Amino acid sequence: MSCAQMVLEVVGLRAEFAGAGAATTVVNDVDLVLHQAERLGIVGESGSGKTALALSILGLLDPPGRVTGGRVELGDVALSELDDRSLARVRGSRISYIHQDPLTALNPVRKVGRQIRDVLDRHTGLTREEKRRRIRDLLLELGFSDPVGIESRYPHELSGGMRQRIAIAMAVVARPDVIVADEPTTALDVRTQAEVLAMLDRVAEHHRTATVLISHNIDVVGSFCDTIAVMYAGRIVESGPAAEVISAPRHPYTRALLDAVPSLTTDRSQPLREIGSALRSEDRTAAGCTFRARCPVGRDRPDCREHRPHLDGGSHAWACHHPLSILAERTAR
Amino acid sequence: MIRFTVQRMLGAALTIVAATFVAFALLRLTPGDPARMILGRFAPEEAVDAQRTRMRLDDSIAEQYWAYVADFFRGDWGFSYSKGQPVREAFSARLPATIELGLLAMAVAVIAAVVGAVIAVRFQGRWPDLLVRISSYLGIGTAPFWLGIVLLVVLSDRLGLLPGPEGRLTPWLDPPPRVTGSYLIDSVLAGDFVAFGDALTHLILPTLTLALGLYAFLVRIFRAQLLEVVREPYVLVARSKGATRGRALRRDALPNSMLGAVTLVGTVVGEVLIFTVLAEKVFAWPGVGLLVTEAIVNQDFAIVQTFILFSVVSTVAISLVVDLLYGMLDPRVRAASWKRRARPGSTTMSAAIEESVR
Repeated sequence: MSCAQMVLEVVGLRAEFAGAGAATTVVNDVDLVLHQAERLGIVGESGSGKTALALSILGLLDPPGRVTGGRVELGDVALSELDDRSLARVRGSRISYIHQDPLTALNPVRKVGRQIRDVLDRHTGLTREEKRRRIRDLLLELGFSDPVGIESRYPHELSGGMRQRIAIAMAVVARPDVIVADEPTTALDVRTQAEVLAMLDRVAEHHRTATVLISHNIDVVGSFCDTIAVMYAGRIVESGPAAEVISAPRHPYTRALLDAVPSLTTDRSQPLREIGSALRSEDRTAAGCTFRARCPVGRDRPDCREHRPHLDGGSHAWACHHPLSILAERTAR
Repeated sequence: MIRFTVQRMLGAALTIVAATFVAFALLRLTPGDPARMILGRFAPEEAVDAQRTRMRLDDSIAEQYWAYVADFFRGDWGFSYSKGQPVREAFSARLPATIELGLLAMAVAVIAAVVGAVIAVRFQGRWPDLLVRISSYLGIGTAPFWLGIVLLVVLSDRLGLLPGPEGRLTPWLDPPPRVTGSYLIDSVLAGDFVAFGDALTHLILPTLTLALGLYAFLVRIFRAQLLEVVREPYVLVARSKGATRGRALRRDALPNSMLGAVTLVGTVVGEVLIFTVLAEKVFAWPGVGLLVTEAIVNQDFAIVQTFILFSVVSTVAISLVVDLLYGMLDPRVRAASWKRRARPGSTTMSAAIEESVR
């Protein structure tokens, strides 16, 4: 992996939402690195800043949201330096985006074929015939048996899963280096989720496209991604190779996320495990660890209260003063 | 769709029937004797009686109403005593002037409102947006007849840039031979570009006077609708595919927001008719509005009630057309009706099911 070419680098990215009073920082000092064909999963609960992070990377964060610092580099292009017009030339061609809700992500009054072709019209000098062929091949690859018929449909004539596959087609048709997929399967039922993910997997594999997959479901991310970054209150609190983070989480929050996912062996007579309380806004700005108030480990320890832990470690890093020990983790399992 | 069409048509018919009641009642409830009014104060009683019989005023109310409705739909709209000609002739002579002015004003207002709304949303909260909003408040707050007078005083009387209130053409010019009734189109058809230029300069001030109020009304609604649509995810997705902010606004948000606004145009037609009466008076524009103001002054109710019915029928007819048009413009409405009916069980549903099962 490390020998592959780096396609996306995010350094110290910060974004905030202006509110009635003080602005809320929703993306706080985030660093990410993505290599060619790599799958990076970003996990966190609602409000952890995942979507804001995705939009900030693409330069699509709209007011009241705003990027306040950091750099985003897509290969040789510094996205964070570009204005809307120059960004528009890069979006869709070198970095693309899949929205979380397939039902509202397509323009209801335009045929889906046209909406896919937009990307090629905008970014390529292909002939009509070449565009047509590329779209048909891609639709076939995405499991549509009748690509020609699908192209002339309106979004409302397609099911959620079909629409999300159209969204994938729009995202990959111009062969970008990076796809940012924001909860692409959340709005779908479990079976369609698996199908859509498999499609995304296949297409990304085929074109060696690097993917950022955002999800609140650590299991989904674990099965799809090479690397995982766990996000809490706008910060990355743990990151590392997917297998390692899932089998041996060091941050209590990662542990809690893993516990929250029911599996086939979960005892269904017991209530599902949840993370106590919710993220409070004062936790974002407090001096200590942002997870402190909900943390089963560090709750009242003075170091958690006073010092914010930094993301430390090698390829597997965590931001916690009292990381779970690997030994304890193994015995707990 | 068929059910919807039938419902809308029934509704339209009911509205028109109700309007005939109002127009009919208006005439009967007015104090005074219409027969006496027509013949004058000094006419002998026998003549007035004869006139009354001619006007069927001795029949029962129901009979009178029926005769009135039947006459109206046959095209017999009564006789205008003040004009000395059948109402129908008076109308057909005046109607083209009103239609030309009304349509032009609506076109100007709609285009200006769309442009204004796009600018306002593109620069939301900044000075261009503020400017559009101020223009809307001013437009709504300005009485059209007052605006017309101010425009006349400044641009025509003081600066001499545009012709004064002298109707559709400079008095010594001959109107182009009537084909469509629009001087602009007819003069071009006749190759008479002097008349075209003259007709155009005569149209500018009345059009502006009429258009401002409409623009002001429409731009607020267009802006609000566009603001709502621009937050839709597909606009964000369009930008993620490489559209600039402005392009996504124009190509993805605007058509969707206009879809909702189309039905408004029907409501606006009624508004245009009312404003036309005022604008025509100010500019001595020889249209239906002027005819009606003259008729009111002369208590010529045959014209007034025809105008009432005429406004109702045209408003209802246009909003009906617009509503049906809406069904054809929006693919979601269209598909829900015609497609499925035309190709029962074939493509749409079964293919969708087949695809989702795969």
